[in-house]
Amino acid sequence: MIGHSWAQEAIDTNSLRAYGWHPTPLREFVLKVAQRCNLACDYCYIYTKADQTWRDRPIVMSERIWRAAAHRIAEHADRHHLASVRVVLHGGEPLLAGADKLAEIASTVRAAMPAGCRVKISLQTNAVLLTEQTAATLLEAGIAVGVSIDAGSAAGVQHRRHADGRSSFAEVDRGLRILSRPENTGIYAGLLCVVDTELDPVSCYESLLGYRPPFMDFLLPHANWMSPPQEALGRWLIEVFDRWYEAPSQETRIRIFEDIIRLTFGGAGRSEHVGLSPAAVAVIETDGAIEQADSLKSAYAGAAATGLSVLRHSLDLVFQHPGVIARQAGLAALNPSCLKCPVHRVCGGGHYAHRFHALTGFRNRSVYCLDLYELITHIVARLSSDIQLLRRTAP
Amino acid sequence: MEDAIRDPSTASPMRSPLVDVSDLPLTVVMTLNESVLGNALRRLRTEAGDDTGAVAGWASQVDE
Repeated sequence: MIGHSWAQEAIDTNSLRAYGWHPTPLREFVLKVAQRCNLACDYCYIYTKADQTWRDRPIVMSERIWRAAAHRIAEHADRHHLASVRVVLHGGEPLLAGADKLAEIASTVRAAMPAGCRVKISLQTNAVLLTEQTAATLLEAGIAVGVSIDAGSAAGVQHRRHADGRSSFAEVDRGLRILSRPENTGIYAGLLCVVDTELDPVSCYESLLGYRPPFMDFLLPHANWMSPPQEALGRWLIEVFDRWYEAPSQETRIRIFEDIIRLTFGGAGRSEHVGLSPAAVAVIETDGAIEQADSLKSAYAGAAATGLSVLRHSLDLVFQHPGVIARQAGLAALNPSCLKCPVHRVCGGGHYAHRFHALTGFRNRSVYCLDLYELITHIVARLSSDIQLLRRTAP
Repeated sequence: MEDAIRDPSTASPMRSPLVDVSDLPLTVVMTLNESVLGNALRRLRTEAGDDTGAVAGWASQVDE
């Protein structure tokens, strides 16, 4: 039985189906291999927000669950004839499960896949436990590593502390220096940074460049209409964009900016933050529960739940959930006021979790609406000007 | 007044794409330097039609 909450009731799934919605197969599967974390970041959407379901779940994912998860992912890939899928080993802190276990999970997932379906496996870690030995194990297992860090200085990671208040910077810095060595280039995925407006944007960006990340992303701190952000951050992102965009030779790739550029040119977005591409991600918790994107936990308790489990249900059943349908329905799921906006095809209404209001559910503008508008119109203006110049100077 | 100007819901709709680059010759695009814009235009041409859905993690980037 598909479970859904009152917040999804405002979504008229019948009209969305009539509008032409059809399921987009899942392409990314987030395995919560460890439920706990060795840091206590003050903005964490898992531990500090409305949903506290982590307390009742197994601390690590058991072999029974990850084998069932591998089976369900393979079943889904086979049914939809997928040429590739992505699996993200996530937590909590996934390295608390042990690098050897992660390698075993990766091996099991790969072995389960139908012929012709490639699987890319990555890990999102805080890097505290990233040692030379751990990196070597991950390299051998073909597991790409993304690191969460907000800035490349001790003063810049005030929010990312141990439970006793100690800074995590020295350990994270050590782990990142190991990961950024030439021998680990093949598994260094990039950096995920939560915007901190207390920091100087350009200094923050340049400090992170010191780790030579191939990719980066700047994430908006999770907020919604019931718990709005304290600071406007459009200007902060614009300053980082200008610094990044004006480099004579591209120094790294920044997902949110590249998505906005691609969408401005009429292409498709690839993240949850902007654009109207259908969400194609499912989360599998340590107890086997199949959930929607876990960022929804920042909205209210149980917001990510579907009532499904890899032990009993096919992943295809998520396509009956109104929240999943809404996040695959593109324009049809936006608030009507968004449709009047000149940049709505680029913004896409913003991150789904940032639209939540206790009275009206998720069919609202993003709580970061003005920030996104400011950033997108700035990028559009710069691109428009440069493309005109290119047209004039092209042979 | 400033808020009214910045409020996107009060603006009139525009066509997509917001910046049309379809008329830029491929020969021009492929000879641009390694700037953010040059790389973005090249990727747009080589990834045309690739809409695999929005994802949460890093794997979408690692694919490329």
